[in-house]
Amino acid sequence: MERSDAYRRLARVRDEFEAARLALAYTLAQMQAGVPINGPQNMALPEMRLSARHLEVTYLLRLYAEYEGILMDYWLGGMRRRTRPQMKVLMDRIASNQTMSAGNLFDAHRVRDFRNDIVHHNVRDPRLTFRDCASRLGTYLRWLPVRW
Amino acid sequence: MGKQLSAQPSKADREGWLDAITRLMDDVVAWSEAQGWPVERGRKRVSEDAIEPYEAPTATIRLAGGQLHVEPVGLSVIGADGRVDFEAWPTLNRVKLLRRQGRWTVYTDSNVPLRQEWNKDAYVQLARDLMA
Repeated sequence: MERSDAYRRLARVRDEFEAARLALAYTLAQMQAGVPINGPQNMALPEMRLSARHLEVTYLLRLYAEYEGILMDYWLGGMRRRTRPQMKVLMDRIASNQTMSAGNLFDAHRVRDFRNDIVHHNVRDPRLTFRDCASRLGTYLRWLPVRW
Repeated sequence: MGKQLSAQPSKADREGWLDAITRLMDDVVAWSEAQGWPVERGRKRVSEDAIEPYEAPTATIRLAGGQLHVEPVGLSVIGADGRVDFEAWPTLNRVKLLRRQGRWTVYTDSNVPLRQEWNKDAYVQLARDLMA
């Protein structure tokens, strides 16, 4: 893999998020204006609002999954390891191997903490925006080699 | 922002679009080089539903802290007559330049327009901001 591929993978999730956000906002506006757009599923306004409210968190999980996949790819293919460590260990080991800045590692760990709170503690209020998370994870990836 | 896709582009629309992005890239390259930022020009194949695939110019600019990728997205976009993305690595910060009636307007990912004339100063500031 090349580092540029890693950035593109994260950027694709961002693009999907932006497209979904636009589509939801547009649909919600139409429904609130009373335009009959319901299809066979007969979606209700509260369901659409809930979906819109949680959209950022939903895509944040997608973003993190891509990031996790990239790190595992580097761990197995770039560092020639055979284990499958937990993410905290994986992030720390790669950071140590690449002599990463402590600040960049810390920032990426904050995203991991947030993701864990979403998954394990049902946190839904984004204390980090999608954009913050993408920027922090992208900056972590900057320390990886150009290709591996 | 408009909600309609532009009408089916004509051949003249396509030529006008290619001319506009070529001039935009030339400006970006010149403004970057004036700042001492190395630039690599490239080409990408753009496929859109409404028109034949075409080759379009791209640029990668190296700044302190990362790279700025300037890439045309397409002529047929919602609410505009073409879009070019400015994306920074590693921050993944991005803005979109939308073309309307021959003029470029910068939009954030939240679809908020930056009400500022598109020129050298705006570009230089934007490039730095995208890296931060």
